[in-house]
Amino acid sequence: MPDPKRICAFYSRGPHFMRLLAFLREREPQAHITAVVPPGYPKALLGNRADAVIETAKAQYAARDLAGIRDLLRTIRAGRFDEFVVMFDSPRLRLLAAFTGAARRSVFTVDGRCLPLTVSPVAVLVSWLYRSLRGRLTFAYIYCVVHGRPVERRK
Amino acid sequence: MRVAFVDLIFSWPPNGGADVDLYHVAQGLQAVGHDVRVFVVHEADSYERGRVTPDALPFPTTRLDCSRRDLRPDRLCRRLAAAVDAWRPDVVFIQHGFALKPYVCEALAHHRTVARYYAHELTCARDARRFREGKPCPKDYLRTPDFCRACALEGQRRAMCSWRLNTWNADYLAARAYRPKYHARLLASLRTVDAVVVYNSMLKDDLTGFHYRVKVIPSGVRVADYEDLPPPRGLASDRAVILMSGRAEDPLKGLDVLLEAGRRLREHRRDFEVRATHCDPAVSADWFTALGWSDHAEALRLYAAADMVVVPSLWAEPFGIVAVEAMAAGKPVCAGRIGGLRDIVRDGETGFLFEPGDATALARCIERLLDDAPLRERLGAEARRVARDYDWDRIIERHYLPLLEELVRA
Repeated sequence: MPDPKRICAFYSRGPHFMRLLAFLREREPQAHITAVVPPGYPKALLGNRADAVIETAKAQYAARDLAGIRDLLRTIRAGRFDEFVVMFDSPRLRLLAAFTGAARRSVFTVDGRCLPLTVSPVAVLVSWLYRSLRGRLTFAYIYCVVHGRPVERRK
Repeated sequence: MRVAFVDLIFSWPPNGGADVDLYHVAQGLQAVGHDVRVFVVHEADSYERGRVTPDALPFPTTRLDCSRRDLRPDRLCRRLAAAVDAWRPDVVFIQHGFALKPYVCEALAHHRTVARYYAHELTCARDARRFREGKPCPKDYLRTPDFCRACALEGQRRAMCSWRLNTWNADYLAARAYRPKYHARLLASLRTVDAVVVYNSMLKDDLTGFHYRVKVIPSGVRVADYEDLPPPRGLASDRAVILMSGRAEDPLKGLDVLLEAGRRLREHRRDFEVRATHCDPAVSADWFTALGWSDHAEALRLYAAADMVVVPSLWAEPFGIVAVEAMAAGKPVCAGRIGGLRDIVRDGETGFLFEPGDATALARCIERLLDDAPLRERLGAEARRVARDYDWDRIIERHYLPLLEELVRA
């Protein structure tokens, strides 16, 4: 009998972490599910939705905290997971997922779908630059409209 | 009578109270013999807009499938008007929608229309919450548009600069709600509708001078669902249980105020336990239990195990469904004296009201209920009686049927 699939669910703050674990348990009842949670997380809440829990050293990691992130990645990589699931599709979480060594990396959307995170870190970077430029230009234009053309003067 | 509902956001299972309201009103009007149809805008790849399966709903539903490009005001209104006109309704309810709603009101103005507002959409261009710098905002987009335009833009800076847009941001851009003309369009759209419906008397007061027919119609619950609820498994307690239900992780819901009140009570008594549907690991105390996320059926059971329910909201809750649910379950409610909660909780009769954010006052209210079990019983029984006014059947009979009559006669 093959070993059960090993899935790692990475906590982000918000009410749907439980929903993610329940979804994974329902999708793959035989899988070994590990929840990565921040320190002090009430583990009793997890019930039988997770088979193992990894508690991170810090509640949040700053981008500059390379040593902390390295230790976190080392802990996750030691779990030899087949799938790594995050709750948001952000460049940071994509990069983290890319370095976990999991063959399959997914994002669990708010509406309850599990979508693959397959894009390479380079594509993530390009997309981030494009979004950032487009967003900042739009914001600058609207800023000029809002502050340069008041409603009350028109009256 | 043929009654159409047009909703730009509706999803089922619901994303929020507005979806629940539409579902029950459409179902209720259909049950009393009206011909009902719901028109829903669905955007591909959006979890917020129009995630419905029409065949699974108990009323006829037309789903208009759109891409984000189709959500430009002109295209959207053309499609909606064509679909609604083809059905020939007697009355059209224009339900939940953000910045695109004024365009829809204008496009359907040749029908008898009712605009339904669920939060502070008309007065707060930032996020419809009208809450700023830790307290309810005194500004108002209808009266101080320039201040509110700047505030709205600032509130969306992060989402816009990273170009990660939710439905609110996308509608803001599509409707060009930042332009000075948009304010005039919003006022004009208010004049085109035959009635405006809001959740509470405070929201009605905000519209004084902008529309002559503003109705206050609350949302509701199925009261029968709250009777004889079995307590949840594994949550028995020998201490009095104080429950905070709902999205307790939202800072505007005031969990911090409840925790502060709990700390003060803990200094001199140990006969209580605070439970919240919340899972922030930063909050930890021997008198506090984080219940985390639970589904609706389980959430109802939590009321059965509670001795009282606290709604310490800091913002002007448009309605406050948690208070009504608690009352339907026969529990006294301690709530902030703000927004719709003022209308729902009768101070001294079904619970207590306190100034929002005042932990000392909340601790005093809780202590009064902890010390006096017969008072808890009495207030709980009265709460259950009052909650019957919020039963959906009664809401339809008392509010919607007279409104439809009035519109048709007019």
